[in-house]
Amino acid sequence: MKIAGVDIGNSSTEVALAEISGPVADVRFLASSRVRTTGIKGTPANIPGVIRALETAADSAGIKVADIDLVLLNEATPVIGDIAMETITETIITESSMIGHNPGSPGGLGVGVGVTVDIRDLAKASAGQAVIAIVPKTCDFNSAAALISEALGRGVDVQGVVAQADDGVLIANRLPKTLPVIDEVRLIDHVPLNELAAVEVADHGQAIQQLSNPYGIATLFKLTPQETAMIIPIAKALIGLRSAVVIRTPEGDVQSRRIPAGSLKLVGEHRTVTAQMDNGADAIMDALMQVAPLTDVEGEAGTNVGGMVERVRQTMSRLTEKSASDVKIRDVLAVDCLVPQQVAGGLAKEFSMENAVGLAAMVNTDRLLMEKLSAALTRELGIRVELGGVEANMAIRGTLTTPGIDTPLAVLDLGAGSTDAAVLHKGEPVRSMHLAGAGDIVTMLIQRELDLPGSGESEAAEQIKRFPLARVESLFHIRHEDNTVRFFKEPLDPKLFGRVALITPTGLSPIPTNHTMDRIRTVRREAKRKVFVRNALRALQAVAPGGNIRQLHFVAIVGGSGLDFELSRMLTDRLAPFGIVIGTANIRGELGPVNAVATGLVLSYADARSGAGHG
Amino acid sequence: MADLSRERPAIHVCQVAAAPADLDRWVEIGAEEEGVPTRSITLVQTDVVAAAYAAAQSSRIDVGVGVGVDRVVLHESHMPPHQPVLTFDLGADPRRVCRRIGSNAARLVARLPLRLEDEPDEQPAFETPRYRNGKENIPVGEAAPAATDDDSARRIAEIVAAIVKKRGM
Repeated sequence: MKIAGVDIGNSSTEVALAEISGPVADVRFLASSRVRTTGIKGTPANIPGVIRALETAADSAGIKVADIDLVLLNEATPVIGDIAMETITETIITESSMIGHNPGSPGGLGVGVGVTVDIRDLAKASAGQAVIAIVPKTCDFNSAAALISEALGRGVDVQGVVAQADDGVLIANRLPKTLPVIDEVRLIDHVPLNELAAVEVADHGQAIQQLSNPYGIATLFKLTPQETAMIIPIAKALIGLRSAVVIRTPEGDVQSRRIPAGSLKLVGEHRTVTAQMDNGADAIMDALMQVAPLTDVEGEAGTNVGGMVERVRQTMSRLTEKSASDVKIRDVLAVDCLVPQQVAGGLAKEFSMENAVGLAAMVNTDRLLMEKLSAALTRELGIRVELGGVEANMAIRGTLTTPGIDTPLAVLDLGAGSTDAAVLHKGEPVRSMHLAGAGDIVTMLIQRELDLPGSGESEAAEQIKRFPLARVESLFHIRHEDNTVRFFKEPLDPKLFGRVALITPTGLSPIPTNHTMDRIRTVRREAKRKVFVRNALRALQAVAPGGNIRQLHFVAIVGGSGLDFELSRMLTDRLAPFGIVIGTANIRGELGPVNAVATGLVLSYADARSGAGHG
Repeated sequence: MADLSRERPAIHVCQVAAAPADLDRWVEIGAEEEGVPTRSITLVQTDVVAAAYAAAQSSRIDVGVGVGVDRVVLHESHMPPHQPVLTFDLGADPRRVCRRIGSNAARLVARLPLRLEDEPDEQPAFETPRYRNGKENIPVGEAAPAATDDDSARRIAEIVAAIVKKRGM
């Protein structure tokens, strides 16, 4: 008979198609397939994906879907997860008192302080008056330079220039003396006139000194200690920029508001611990260890974390068709990150790095959902569908087809939604653990930290997670992450020039951002470390005898994220000191880390049949 | 003795005979804003791609720009002669186009990504934030159901009121 093992995961649906024959149920695998999961795992929306996966496998085996005698589904997807992210700090500028600005090419050099004057009114400025000229883009660089030169000639003390167009260097080059010129200030109309302002441009390859120093700003503006305390967020936001403007408006006020981040109440079987979000992800994870095993999580009402937990609960309640109060969160993973956020009230789309916490949460689902799905699938296909056993056992059974592997065996299943571990010791039942947070939250971290366009599941972030980077250094060569250089015979596409690109199977694909290759690489690796490496340790500790990872001898990585190009290396670096063999599984000696559960479903069905045959 | 001025690295800009006058100036302005030196050179060429290629060949930093009758071309000396790096039509605002190719020539030297699209003049005043920030300090998860609860409560109240009215109570 022909049977198909089907594993519906958070992100992909896998099929193992096999022929079982003879009294001892010889298994011959015919084909395998892997397609994108449709809808959310464990819901009837998965059916189109399952059918496509079956069709793909049947096609490559040269049979029809109708020829399949039995479809085996993994029993009760034990967990589904959701992710959320919230910033816990925010910079707000009221009355536009800052332009922290980093245009590509500011002009001139130095620090200037004066009263802001529109260039068209510069003729009215009196000799000796210290002014900063404001140049809207209706005034071209030649006229601007001429007007400023004329004013300087009359003895007006022009201290600096703020321009709207990308003309900074052009204006600076046409002036009789060196002045700092800031350009590309898009919302120049919002710059208040007749107010005291300071302009600073640093030399090439350097960062501003005066305006990024609170006492520097205090010196220029003659601020009191109280006022100096108020401008600290400005100085902080300007650190590392090559140019900046600070305008002092009487009502001006910048706040680094700390949003009440709230607290997370972790309810365990024996005790309850409340962790403050302000203390960061580590505090939450420590609290989690103290309360284990976790029975539920509550966020403080009226705070950001309260909203996050509530959103997760709502989503889960919709999926599982339980009331929100019956949805119990069984695991959370908290990660710290720094996200660039547009400064509220800024004039040139300034960004400031704000602290944020990402949270992945997971709830248990029940067998009922999968039974519903299996019934719907039977109706749709006209083929018998059975629930074929616990996912963790199936993963182990499938992984054991890897050449060179032996028990006691631990399997680390790195998926999109959850990180699972299962351990098999001879003669003992399989112990398993499911933890919140895997590939999806890594993608979200990359997207937010690099501020990539798109939503949480942004395509660009997903690609960055998957492929190594290179920088296109000339029209003929690229430099890889490891500093090696590759030359091409044909010139590269000019739109790749100077960009950081991904090396994908279809060629180089430029990343739509100005971040450096190092920064993207650091963000990518940190995200993987914060999620996968941490969860791998947590999961293995949970299943290892006595919580001691050293007791495990073989650890095999399976799951879609096991295909990652650098993850197994990162895990090896972290786990090798425990004296265990860790490597990526190779299911059936040919499939790599995927298809473990689908293969396991088929094999354990055959095991059961042959067992029945003998008995 | 070598001519010192010829030794100084620069982007070479040349104009074919029939090209609109003065446009090479705007190419040079584009490069100046990016801080890369340029030099105007004279070549007897009628084809703008060939002119750009020749300019690139003569430049010590391998980058040349040719201004033609209806288009402007950026070339690099290692490229195949017939395959320029960029070609822009002069269009309605030739000065702006020339300035942009000058800027791209400089970016080619500085190894910065090229500006292929003409950037729009006016950016929207404030972009809508891509994700919720603390300004709207109401967690969505809480606000949304609360609103529907209110709605349904009001609707129930209306139905009750209608029934009460109908029965003349």
